[in-house]
Parts: sequence; structure tokens; C-alpha cells
Amino acid sequence: MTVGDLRTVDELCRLAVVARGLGCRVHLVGTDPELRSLLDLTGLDDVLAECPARPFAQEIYDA
Amino acid sequence: MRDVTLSEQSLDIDEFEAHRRELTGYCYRMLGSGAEAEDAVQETMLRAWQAADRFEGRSSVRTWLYRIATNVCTDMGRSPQRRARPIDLGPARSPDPVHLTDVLPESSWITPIQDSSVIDLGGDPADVVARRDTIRLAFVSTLQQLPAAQRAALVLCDVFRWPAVDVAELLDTSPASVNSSLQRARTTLAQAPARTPTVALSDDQQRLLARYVDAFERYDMDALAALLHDDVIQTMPPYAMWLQGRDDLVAWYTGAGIGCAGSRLLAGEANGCPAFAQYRVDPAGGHAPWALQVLELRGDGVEAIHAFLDIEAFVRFGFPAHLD
Repeated sequence: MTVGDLRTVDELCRLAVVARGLGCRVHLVGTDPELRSLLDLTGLDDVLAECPARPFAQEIYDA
Repeated sequence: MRDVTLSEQSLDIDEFEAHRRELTGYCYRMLGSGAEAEDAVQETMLRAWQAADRFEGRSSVRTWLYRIATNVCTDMGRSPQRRARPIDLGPARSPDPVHLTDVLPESSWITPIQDSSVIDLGGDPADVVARRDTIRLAFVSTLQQLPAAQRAALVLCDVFRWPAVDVAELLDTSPASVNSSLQRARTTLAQAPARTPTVALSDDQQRLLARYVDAFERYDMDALAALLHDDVIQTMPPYAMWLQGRDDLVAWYTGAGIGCAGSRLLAGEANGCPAFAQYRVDPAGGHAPWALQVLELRGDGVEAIHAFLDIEAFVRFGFPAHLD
């Protein structure tokens, strides 16, 4: 999932509702940074939270 | 995943440039200023280039650039979304030039950004529309003023048009609680954000814009008024004052704003909306830049005119410095 726009947010929220109905939660892994910024801005960052155990190593950047 | 992880040997400037537009949109949402966003992206590219030998390829280039951009925006000493629209900062005023004494500091108002700086306008039309939504003035400026629960309720109900019962399910609350959040959000805001979701302009709206240009250039107030909704608003940053209502706008244009008579308009696109570069009659001859108008349309009428008195924006948008 790499498209960070509102359509993607909408679709992910619909997925999350279906998951709720099944007693599950959706976690995102390695979320696109633009999408993450939109989730923060729209207040939906808790609903579509990042999976705590991220398998992707964080690049250290110290410039 | 479309992201490509590159080894440092293959890092080159083209890889950075491919992300310039989306990084500009990201920085714009952080900073609320078109000029600062473009500066921030330039600085991001510079830092990335200087640090390229330290990039170890453990994340994608894209993720790495976003991280640098986040640092750059933070280093610019800006808290996210400190900028706002005049309608977020105070009530509407009467069309009386006495209010022009109240000028907002440059750092406090949202400045426009050109669509083509943020969006590949030649891309998939559905993608273009979806990305335009994310740079709309209302979307960028107002959401940050609300607590997270109200933001979520507002976006889901007013932008995505979800029924309250589905929103309640998603947010793990009751429909009554969702409606309550929504009401509080709408009370907080002078105007609900993105109340008119962006769609590609209809043929009727294209004709509306043509009539707008014609009425404005002829300064035919009857023809202009016929294109405006009853509750139309006009903002004029850096002035804090803003107007509401068709009659007040016409009173402004025939009163304090009479200098706009004889203006010429050139079409463009800003903040996901149709925009016009307005040139006023220059006493020295020809027409001089005056305001960048960003129009928000609702159905078959104009619901907002954001007239940025920002001559510097003409340069960024590539509009002529003067019309003969």
C-alpha cells in the first residue's frame, strides 16, 4: 500500500470496520509515510495503528 | 510495495527528484505555506545528497527522504499547522475598509500552493482528484484545531460520507457519541472543513468559471452576484477581515474594492481548486499583479473566494510579472 491519499484512508477504514465486525483489529506494517501523516491529520491514527513489532529496520538518520 | 530499496552505489539525483511532488505536498501540510514547503523540499534534497554515502539501504529511499523532510520541517522551527485561514481566526466583518487596519503577520496565514507542484496532473484522473483533496485550504487548516476524535468523526461523516452507525463501529463508540463529536466540531469551526468534496469540475462548473471571468473583467456586479451562493465568503489574507454573504461582497467590490474594476484574470490551479491570477489596472500602464484568487465551488455557484494578496505567489506559480 503506497498511495497516501484520502481514498486509501477511506478504504482502510472500511476494512477496519469489517475487521471489527469479525472481532479483529487491523494493524498496519511499514506504513507509507505520507499515508501515516494523513492518518495523523485526520485523527484516524489510533484506528489504523502501526503494528508494534515492526519487521522493518529503521534507517538511522542524523544529518 | 512499489518502493525500491537501493544500494548506495545506485543512489542518484533522479531517484530523489521522482519524489519531489509528493514531498512538497507533505511539507505543505506540515507548514501551510507554499513557499516554505518548496524551500523545505529543496533543503531535503540537499541534505539527502550530502548524506547519500551514509544511506545504507535498510529502508526505501522514499521513507528515508520523508524522514529527512520531517527533520527539515521541524528544524524550520514550525509546529505543525500553525497557519490558518482568516475565517478560522475571527468572525466575519462588515464590508468597511476600517477593518483593513488589522493585518495578519505573514507567518500566521496559510499561503496557496500550485497544484502542479504537488500533483502529477497528467496522472490517473482518480488519483489527481484524491490528491487534490489533501491540499484543500479547508482540509489543511481546520483539522488541526480539533481533538482527534472530532477530526475522525468529521472526516468520516463529511468527507467520506459514512453513516454515523458505521463511524461508531469504527471508532468503537455509539452513533449518539459520533453525532455529538460532529456537532462540537462544527461548532468549533466557522465552517465545516471540506464540506464540498473535490470532484473533477463538471461542464456546468467550467461554464460557471468562464462566466465568472467575464463578469469580473467587465466588473458587472449583477452578473457576478448571480454566480455567488447566498452564504458565499471572501477572505483577503494578509487582512484578518473576511466577508460573508453575497450582498456584502458586492458592497465591497463597489466600495473599498472598486480598484478591482478593469482587472484581468489569468486561469490556474491552486490548493485543488480553480484559481485566477488577478491583475489590477496599473496607473503606469498595463496591469499589475494584485491577488491570487482561489475559488471553492458548490454545485452551480461559488461558495468561497480566497483572494491572497501575495504577489510573491505570482512568481512561484509562473504567472507574468506584468501584463501589457
